[in-house]
Amino acid sequence: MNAKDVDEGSWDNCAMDRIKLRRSYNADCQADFVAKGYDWDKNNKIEAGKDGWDENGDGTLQDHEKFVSVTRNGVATIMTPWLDYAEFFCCDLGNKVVVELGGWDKSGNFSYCWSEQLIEDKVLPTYILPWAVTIKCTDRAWVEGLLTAAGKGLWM
Amino acid sequence: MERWGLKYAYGIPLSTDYAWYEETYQVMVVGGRPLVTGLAPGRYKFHIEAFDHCYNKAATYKEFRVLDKIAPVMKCDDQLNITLSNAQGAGLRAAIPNPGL
Repeated sequence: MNAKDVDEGSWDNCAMDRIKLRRSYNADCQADFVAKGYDWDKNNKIEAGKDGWDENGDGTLQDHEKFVSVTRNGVATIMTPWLDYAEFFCCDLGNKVVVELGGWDKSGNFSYCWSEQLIEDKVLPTYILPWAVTIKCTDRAWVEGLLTAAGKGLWM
Repeated sequence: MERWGLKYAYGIPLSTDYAWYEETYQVMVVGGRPLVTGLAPGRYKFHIEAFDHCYNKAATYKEFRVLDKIAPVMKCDDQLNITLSNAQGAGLRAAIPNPGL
């Protein structure tokens, strides 16, 4: 999901500099974040203040590129870095994810808005059928193998 | 009045170096006081010249800075439908949102 998908007409009185997006980190998705390259120190864990995504490619995680812990109303939530996009994974299904849209103007003033999203999977599975074949009635073992292989073609 | 920065004409920069450039601003008189609005953030100088009846002249200037201390106004779409998809590369790289109903 890109920042522009969430932005519904944010504006600044002088000049907007950049608009970024981040989401709340779900510990169930640690493996997915690690696989995507967010594990900066390569220890197979996502840690606030250490890991993140070097979006500008400067070799560091400055410029809001780290996971941070944010406390609101007494509740600490780990948020992903501010990026042009936010990623969602299957492990997010059924969970509520906080999505924040942050904006900086040319003078460095900052503001943000947020919404809470329930991630649901409403896409039907896709089934890839095998090629049409002619099977003899004596080929039972082959048929069972075919069905097993076809079952592996089921993906979501 | 002078402004520090690049020289502009109709929004198009005419210079590449920062310097003081004279600019003309509309001055309104509100309650007997001059008022200039719509200044962009930056450094400015305004010059004051005073004459007496014998045409003696005194001049001075005042430098000031216009700051933007107002944060942006952020507006989030709160009716997003997010659908997981693997259409944008290997794995679930991103989700495809739509504005909802």
